[in-house]
Amino acid sequence: MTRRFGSRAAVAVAITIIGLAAPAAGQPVPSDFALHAEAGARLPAVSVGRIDVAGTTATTAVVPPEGRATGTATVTGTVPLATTALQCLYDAVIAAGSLAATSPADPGVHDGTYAVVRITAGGATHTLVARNQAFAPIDDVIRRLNALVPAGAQLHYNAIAGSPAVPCP
Amino acid sequence: MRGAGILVAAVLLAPAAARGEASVRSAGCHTTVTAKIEISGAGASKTVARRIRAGIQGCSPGKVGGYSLLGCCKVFTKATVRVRRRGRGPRPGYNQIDITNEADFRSYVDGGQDSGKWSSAEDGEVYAHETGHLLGLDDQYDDVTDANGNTFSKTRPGHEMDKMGAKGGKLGVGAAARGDLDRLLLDKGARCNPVRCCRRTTTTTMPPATWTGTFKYVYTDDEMGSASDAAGSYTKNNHMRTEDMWTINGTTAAMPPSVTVDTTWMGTFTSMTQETTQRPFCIGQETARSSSSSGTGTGQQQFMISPTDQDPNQYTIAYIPSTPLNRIHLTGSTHVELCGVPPSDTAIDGYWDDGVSQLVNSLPVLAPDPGDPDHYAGRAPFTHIEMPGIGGAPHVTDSYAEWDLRRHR
Repeated sequence: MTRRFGSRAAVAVAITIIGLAAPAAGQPVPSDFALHAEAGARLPAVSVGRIDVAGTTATTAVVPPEGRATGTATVTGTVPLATTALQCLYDAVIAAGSLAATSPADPGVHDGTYAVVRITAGGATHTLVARNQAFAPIDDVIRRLNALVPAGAQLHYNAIAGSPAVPCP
Repeated sequence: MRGAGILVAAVLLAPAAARGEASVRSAGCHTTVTAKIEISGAGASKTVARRIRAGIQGCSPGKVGGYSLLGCCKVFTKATVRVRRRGRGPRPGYNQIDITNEADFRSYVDGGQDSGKWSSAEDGEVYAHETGHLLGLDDQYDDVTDANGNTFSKTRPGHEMDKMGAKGGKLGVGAAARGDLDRLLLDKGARCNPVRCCRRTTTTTMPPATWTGTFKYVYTDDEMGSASDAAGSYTKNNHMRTEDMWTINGTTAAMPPSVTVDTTWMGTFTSMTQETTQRPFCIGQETARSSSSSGTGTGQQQFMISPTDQDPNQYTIAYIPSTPLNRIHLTGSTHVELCGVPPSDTAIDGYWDDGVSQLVNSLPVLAPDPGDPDHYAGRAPFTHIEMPGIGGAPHVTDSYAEWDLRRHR
């Protein structure tokens, strides 16, 4: 009985790992696919990170404290993206249901963090924001996005604190 | 006799017995606020407890300056921080904080303001900010994400120097922040006698003046509109107005060059609400609610009028808390209709506090009329908030202060 349970658990873990690492590739990436992600502390006097994917380039940026009121960012670098990476990101968007999801209600917590993604695909743009809570349609995408940029440019917020970036692909 | 003043101890207790506490103790011209915090979790240690305590005490207004209760009494913030022993439950009466060592974690306090999760790596300023929440202070910044995903995080006007609105700020600094902290501490039992506790080091050759005239504070809240969706239609027609008038009836000596004026307060309150809900089904849901309440109140109130250090012809206004506090007694009734159920009426019997603290926080430094150097008059808006109301119609709250004073020399 124990052995049977153990083998089932192993299969489940394997499926989970495969699922996290590479959502099932399916739909082709729309030509207008673009992704904007921003996350960090809600307190205005703290820098937050930003990553913009457009075409085959990811641009990383920081919104310094003095830019928080206007959303003005300073670009910190660019990263070329392979088509497989773009496909992986788009697959993650689809698998997480990001294009159909609605932003969760603000739980009313003081301070903490927020995370935002804005996705453009197929002529439509969809924006999601979550404050102080795990929300797969955002978190699953940002975990993969983080794997595509240098460690210093990765987005950090509480819902994914302590969990590593997910390779993509 | 300065230190032999009133001694008041109060407890910041919400109705729930397990809620975290903070004690507020006033003695003479000092008030001490002590937050009780129990830390637990992977990052909790005596070292972190010491850092939290040091952060809170290091940002104490009585130590760093910038704020005094009613502009006169020093306020010290302290903390009792304990580490929860392994296997033990939460200690009753303590705010419960989970401490994490996770890199890049950002501290927060739950909406109930008696628990949260803090990073062991925060600096003392953040611990002081979060403790402000445990004491009952709200954040003074807004973070908004627009439809394009652009996020803007702004410190609220008037809170640029406030620790609850901006890093590097201090507790209670700025007119709005001062008002918030004054109200919080007075509500929790803090006491301060400005006449005895304000010590001014400047001297002036001008003799203290006597005063006549009035102060006025008005607050209104209006929401009208209608909306409909697949589940039904809704209407609202709600209006509330409260008005306070203080009429000076005497001037008494205070600590020169300040004077204390005695006033008679008169307050009025009216509220009318009408709300309806129409749905295509009937399962006992509320279909209409209306209420009407009103009241008046009178009382005595003292204000202290003090010339500024920079210009003896310009004045600041402080108030001396009245005992008992001035309140309007409200009476009225609420009428509720439920679908398929006979309507019910219940009486309203309540109280509404006067707006003296809001008045004082609204008032700018008073300057004389250019053509009449002993006449001080004006109007200052305090708040104007428009929120999306029912059906998109604006839900508007307004408040302002007016003054019309004459100085007699």
